Amino acid sequence: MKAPISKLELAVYYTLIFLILYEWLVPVMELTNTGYIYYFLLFIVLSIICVLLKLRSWLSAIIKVMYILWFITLTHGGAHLVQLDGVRFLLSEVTYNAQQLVAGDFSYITNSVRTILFFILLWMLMYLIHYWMTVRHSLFYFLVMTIVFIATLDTFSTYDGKFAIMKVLLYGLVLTGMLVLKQIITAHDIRLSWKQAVLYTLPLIIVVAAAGYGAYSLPKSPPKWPDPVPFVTGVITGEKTVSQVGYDTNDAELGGSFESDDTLVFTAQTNEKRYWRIDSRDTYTSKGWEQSYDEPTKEYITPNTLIGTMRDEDNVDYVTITMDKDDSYVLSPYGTLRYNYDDAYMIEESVESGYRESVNVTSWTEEMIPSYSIEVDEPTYSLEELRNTDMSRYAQLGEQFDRYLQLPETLPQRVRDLAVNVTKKAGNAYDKARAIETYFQSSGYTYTTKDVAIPDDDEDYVDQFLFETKFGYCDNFSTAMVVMLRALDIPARWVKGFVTGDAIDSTTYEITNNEAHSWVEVYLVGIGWVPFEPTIGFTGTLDISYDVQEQEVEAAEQKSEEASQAPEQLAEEEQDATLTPTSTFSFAELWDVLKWLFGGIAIMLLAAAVVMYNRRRQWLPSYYIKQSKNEPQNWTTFEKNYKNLLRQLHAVGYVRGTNETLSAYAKKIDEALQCTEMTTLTTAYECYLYGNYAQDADFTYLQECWEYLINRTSG
Amino acid sequence: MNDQIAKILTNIDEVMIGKREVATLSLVALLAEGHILLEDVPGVGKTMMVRTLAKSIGTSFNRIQFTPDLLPSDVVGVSIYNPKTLEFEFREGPIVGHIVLADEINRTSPKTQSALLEAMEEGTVTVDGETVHIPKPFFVMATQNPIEYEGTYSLPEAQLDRFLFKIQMGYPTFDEEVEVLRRAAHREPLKTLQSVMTIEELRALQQQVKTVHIEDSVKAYIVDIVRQTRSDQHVYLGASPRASIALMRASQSYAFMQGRSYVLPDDVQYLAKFVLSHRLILKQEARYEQIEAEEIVQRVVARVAVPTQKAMNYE
Repeated sequence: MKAPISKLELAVYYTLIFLILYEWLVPVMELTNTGYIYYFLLFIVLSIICVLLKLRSWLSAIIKVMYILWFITLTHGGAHLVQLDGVRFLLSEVTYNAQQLVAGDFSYITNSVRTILFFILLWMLMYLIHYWMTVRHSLFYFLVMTIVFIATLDTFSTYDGKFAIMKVLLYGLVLTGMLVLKQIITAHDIRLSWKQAVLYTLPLIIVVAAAGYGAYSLPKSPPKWPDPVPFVTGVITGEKTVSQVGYDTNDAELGGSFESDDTLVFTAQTNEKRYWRIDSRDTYTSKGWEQSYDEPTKEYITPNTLIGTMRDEDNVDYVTITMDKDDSYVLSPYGTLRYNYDDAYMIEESVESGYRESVNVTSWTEEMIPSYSIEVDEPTYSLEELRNTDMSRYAQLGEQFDRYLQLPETLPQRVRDLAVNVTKKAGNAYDKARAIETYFQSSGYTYTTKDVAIPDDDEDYVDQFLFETKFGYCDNFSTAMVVMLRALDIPARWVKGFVTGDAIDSTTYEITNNEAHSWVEVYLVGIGWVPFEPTIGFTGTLDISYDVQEQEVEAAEQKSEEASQAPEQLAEEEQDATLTPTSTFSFAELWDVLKWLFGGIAIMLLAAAVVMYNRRRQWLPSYYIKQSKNEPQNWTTFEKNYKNLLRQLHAVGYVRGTNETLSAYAKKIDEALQCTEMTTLTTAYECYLYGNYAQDADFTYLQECWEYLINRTSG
Repeated sequence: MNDQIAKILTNIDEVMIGKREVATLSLVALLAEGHILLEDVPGVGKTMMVRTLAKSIGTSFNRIQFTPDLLPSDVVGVSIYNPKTLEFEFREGPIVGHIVLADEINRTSPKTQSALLEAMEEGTVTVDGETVHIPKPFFVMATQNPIEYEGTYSLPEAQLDRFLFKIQMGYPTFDEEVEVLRRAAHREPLKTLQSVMTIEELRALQQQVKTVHIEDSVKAYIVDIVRQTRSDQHVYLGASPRASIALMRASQSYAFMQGRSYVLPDDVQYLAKFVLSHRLILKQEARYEQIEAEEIVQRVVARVAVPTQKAMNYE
């Protein structure tokens, strides 16, 4: 019943298909560095013309083969097919490649064979399209494949398929629409004149064009998920989007995953767990951190000289640092009183606004000091004092604090709003800081070092973390806290260094690159820079004497208990990290991303299969009917149909015992369904099954009975 | 259903009340050239049944009343010296006939029983070295009292095998019995009964029955059922291959009666009980547990899968 497609129609369809195929070819050529795209396109045109002229298949095959050979000799042999050189080239190619193929050395075959294979691929594609067009009257699969293909290339390669996808979609919609029209016309056996056909197609083209233009010109929201592609490309091209963990002085661009690295940096002898502070940053660029001045004020630290405030001689801890890595920084744990070091070196601290910012070896050579000791008396803060930091006291702060209140102008308002919201119950700066510090633990944020997003040009690092991704590592948490505090006009700065490290025994800690960390210091009026630890899974070392009312103390203790559970978590995470082998990182990481994709697709397919399987009673009958329509009416078809019916009846709960004869079962079915068709069918089937010769039967009537029954089973 | 068969059944229905199944099975046996053993008490209409059958096919019937003192010669016949011809002449016994009613065969001695059964099996009688063929169709309907009755010689199992079916006639229901009385009071239906078939026609039908097709899968089904009786836990001795043949012949005959040219598993299922139950020897335990052979056959049939696929190769 399929109406023949006129040549004109076919020509229109094939023009559209050619345009779509062009979009296929362009990226392939671009990515494989293949030239001569026009010759390949010519091949497609040639195939289309063969179809349009309805050439006999052998003739069109000869034409195509000749074309391929001509192309090969021209491009690979540099001669025309008709020339002697060309023939000679062809012959030598054939013998050489035949040898390689027979020997199984597929890697030695020449490019001409690859070209031929590519031509054959195109040929097959054309044949497939021809089949879809003329037999199925549907090109849906082809379109879907094309879009998936271009989207994949666009995502994972340098090819930019933005417009290609749009074009393919538009061509495809027009083509699909025309084919649907064709199907309708065929189904109702309508004959359209040339004019009518154009009149019917015109609205379609207008609608598609309008939709395309609308879609193109409307504003589009940015992607909601972090883009895995920079990461993947980073892995492939080896660009530094996946960094190795460790102390790094460049924080201008934060984000991205990092690999664990357990290279030992230094060993510390200390009686207490400490945060090993190194440096701080004051300027947030919306991508990372910078320092606002180039030449800090530096003060020389004389060995064995008191630089901090001594409170209680008995509390002083003598910390010894043994450096392993050649770094010029000097650690300054909270409450540093004195540095004892060999005076062959020179340590300087950079001091701004009267507070230490960093300590560095600034000897003439700027090499590391192999070993030094620090006298430390970590300050204990009185909770009462901490809370005596009413916001009004910040109004009187001097200009020197402005750089700790700096925020980029592009900072989205919602970050500020969030800061206000989170801290609205807190009355003083300390409580506000605490509120932000604990906010992350209870609001769905996750600590991870994998797949952490890198902000795009128009994105803010903190905003992305707070609202979009909600996962990240210390840099995300600490930067977010600093930015939020600054939004509340509380001076804060971003601090870097190392966390406690692995305890070798009760007083020895080994600090590796994995312990590199960042946290927050908040300026509390009347007290100074106080460290805070917003990162999930880490506990700060802030020592507070709870000298206020009991209730509050309890609350505070609760918080510290919660926090004390966290180190285990951290330890686990660290363990996980160290298990990852660093040498195979590129493929393993790529696979990490792809496995989600494949896993997702597999799960979806599986789910679809399960759903289809569970619903088979509903769709199987119509499938059976459709299938049987295409088959001749004879006993074989009837037997197949009857068996399908039995299966279907069984599936809907009419179970036939193995000892039950077909006629007894048929009687049962007829009684249950209030009909007689089953007995009719069964009698016929029995005649076929147990009779000695095939009798004639009214297959049309049997088919009717069968369709009636099998439809009943799906209802 | 086959027209002539239907007529015979109508005849029987006119005379007998509520005995359709027995009538049908009798006809199945008649067409399959088998014999029937009716196990029942006297007075439930066995003689009437045979008479009706005989009259319907336009022939007479012989009746042998088995008593403890009956001799084999009383059954098969004797050779008598004829003074005129100076020769011994064979006087055929009542067994030589188309339809024979052998009444209460378990009341006679085993010797006489075996004479009867041999005649049934062979279709011939041999007296003093002279063999006489019993004319076909030859149909014996034997009756026996239930075994518990006194003064009986129960038939050996090997001989029970000679009967195609063992059927129980059973008492009529209340309503049926009232109807029996009503008919008996008014008229004698047997006298007005018309014969609907000739002996020749019956012979032809018997030939046709043999042409009824039985598919290999159905044959396999029969064999399956029979073999399963041999492995049943309650059975001491199962049915023989002769039983398989009997079941096949009976099924063909039954299918023919239904007007079908091929055998259905349904036919086999229906007949299995009548064909097989008297051929099984149950274990003592089964008897103690009062498990009937019929029940075992039904269980076996329920166990065996019906063939629903086109024939496989059984070679």
